[in-house]
Amino acid sequence: MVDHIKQISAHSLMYRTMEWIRQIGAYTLESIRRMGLMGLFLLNGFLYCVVPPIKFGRIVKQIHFIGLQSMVVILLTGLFAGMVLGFQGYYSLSRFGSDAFLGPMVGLALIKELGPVLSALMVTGRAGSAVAAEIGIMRISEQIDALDLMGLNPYRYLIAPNILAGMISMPLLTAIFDVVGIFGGYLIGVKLLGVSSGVYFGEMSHYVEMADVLEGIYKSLSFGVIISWVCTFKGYYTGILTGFGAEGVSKATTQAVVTSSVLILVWDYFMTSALF
Amino acid sequence: MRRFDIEIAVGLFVLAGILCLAYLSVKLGKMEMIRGGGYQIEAIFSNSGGLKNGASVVISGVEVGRVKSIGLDTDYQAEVVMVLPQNIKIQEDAIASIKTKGLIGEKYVEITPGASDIVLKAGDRIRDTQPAVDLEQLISSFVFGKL
Repeated sequence: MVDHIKQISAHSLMYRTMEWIRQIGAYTLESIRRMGLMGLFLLNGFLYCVVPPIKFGRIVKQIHFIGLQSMVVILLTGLFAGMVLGFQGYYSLSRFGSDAFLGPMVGLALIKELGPVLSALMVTGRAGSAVAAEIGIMRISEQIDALDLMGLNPYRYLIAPNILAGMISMPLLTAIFDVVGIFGGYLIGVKLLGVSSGVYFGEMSHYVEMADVLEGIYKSLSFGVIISWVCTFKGYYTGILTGFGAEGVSKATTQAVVTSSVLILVWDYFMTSALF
Repeated sequence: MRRFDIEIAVGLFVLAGILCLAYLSVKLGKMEMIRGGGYQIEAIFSNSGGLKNGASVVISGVEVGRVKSIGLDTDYQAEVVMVLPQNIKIQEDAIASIKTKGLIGEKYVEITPGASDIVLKAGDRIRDTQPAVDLEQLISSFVFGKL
C-alpha cells in the first residue's frame, strides 16, 4: 500500500517536471516561430517594395506622415541635443585647454551616433506608434480581410509603402537632425562660450570624414527599415498575437514602440562595432 | 488639390533633407563632387610620425592639397604621395617637412617653395625632406641634458 502511494507521488513529481520542461520548450518554439514570422514578414515587405505595381501615391502619403510631420520634433530635439553637446563638450574639453576641438566633438557625436539614434527614437514614438495603431485598427475592424477579399494585396497597400517611406524619410530626417544639431552646438559654443567660429567649423570639417557621414546614413537607413518593419508587423498581427478589441490595439502599439526602440539601440551597437 | 498640397510638402521635405545630406557630405565629409585635375608628387621621409591619409598639404600655412597615400618604399622609408591642384607649381628644390598642429594636434605636410626654375611634373619626387619631429625624443634629450 505504502509502496503504491510512493510510486504515484514519484510519478506525479516526474510528470510535473516533464510538464515544466515542456512549457520551456513550448515557449522557446513559440519565440522562434514568432521570429520566423517577423523575418518572413520583412521578406514579403521587401518583395513588394520591388515588385510592380508600386503604389507611389501611398509612398508619398507615408513620407508625408513619417517624414514631414516628424520635422518639428526632429528640429526641436536636434537643436537641443546640439546645444547640450556644445555645453557638455566645452565643459570637458576646456578642462584640458582643447576647446578648439568642440567642433569635431559635436560633429562626430551627432553624425555617427546621436543623430541616427535620437531621430530614430523620436520617429518611433511619433510615427511608428501611429502606424501600428492604424494598421491594428484596420485589422480588428476587418479592413485588411476586406482588402484580401477584394484581391488587393495588403502587403502592397500597407506594408511596402511604409517600409519604403521609412527608408526614404529616416536618412533625410537624420541629416536635418545633424545639421540643426551642429547649428545648435555653434550657437552655444561660438555665440555663448566664445569659441571662434572659424575654429568650430574648420576643425569640424577637418576631422569629419566621408566614412563618418556614410556610417550615419547606413545607420539611419537600417533604422528606417526597423521602425516601419516592427511597427507594421505589430499592427498587422494585432488580432492574432495580442487579441482583438481596443486592448489588443493598445498592446500592439506599446509592443511596437518598445520592440523597435530596443531593436534600434541593439542594432546600433552592432552597426557601430561593424563599422568601427 | 489636397493631394497636390501633400506632394508639394513632401517635395519640400525631401529637398530639405537632401540639402542637409549634401552639406554633410560635401562640406564636412569632403566628398569630391568634381574630380579636379590634380597631379601627384611624392616625397620620401625617414619618419612619417603617424601622418594619415587625407592629411593636409600646406604652403605658407595655406592648405593646397591632401596626402593621398602613405607606404613603405624598398629602403624602409616612408613614401608619401600628395595630390596638388594643377595651378600650384612646386619647384624641384622645394622642401617638404612633416609638422604637427600644436602640441598634440594632427600631422600635416608643409612644403617650403624653392627657387629653382625647374618645376616638378606629375609623379616627380621632392628630394629635400624633413622628417616628423619626435616630440618624446626631443623632450627626453632636453630632460637628460643632451640638447
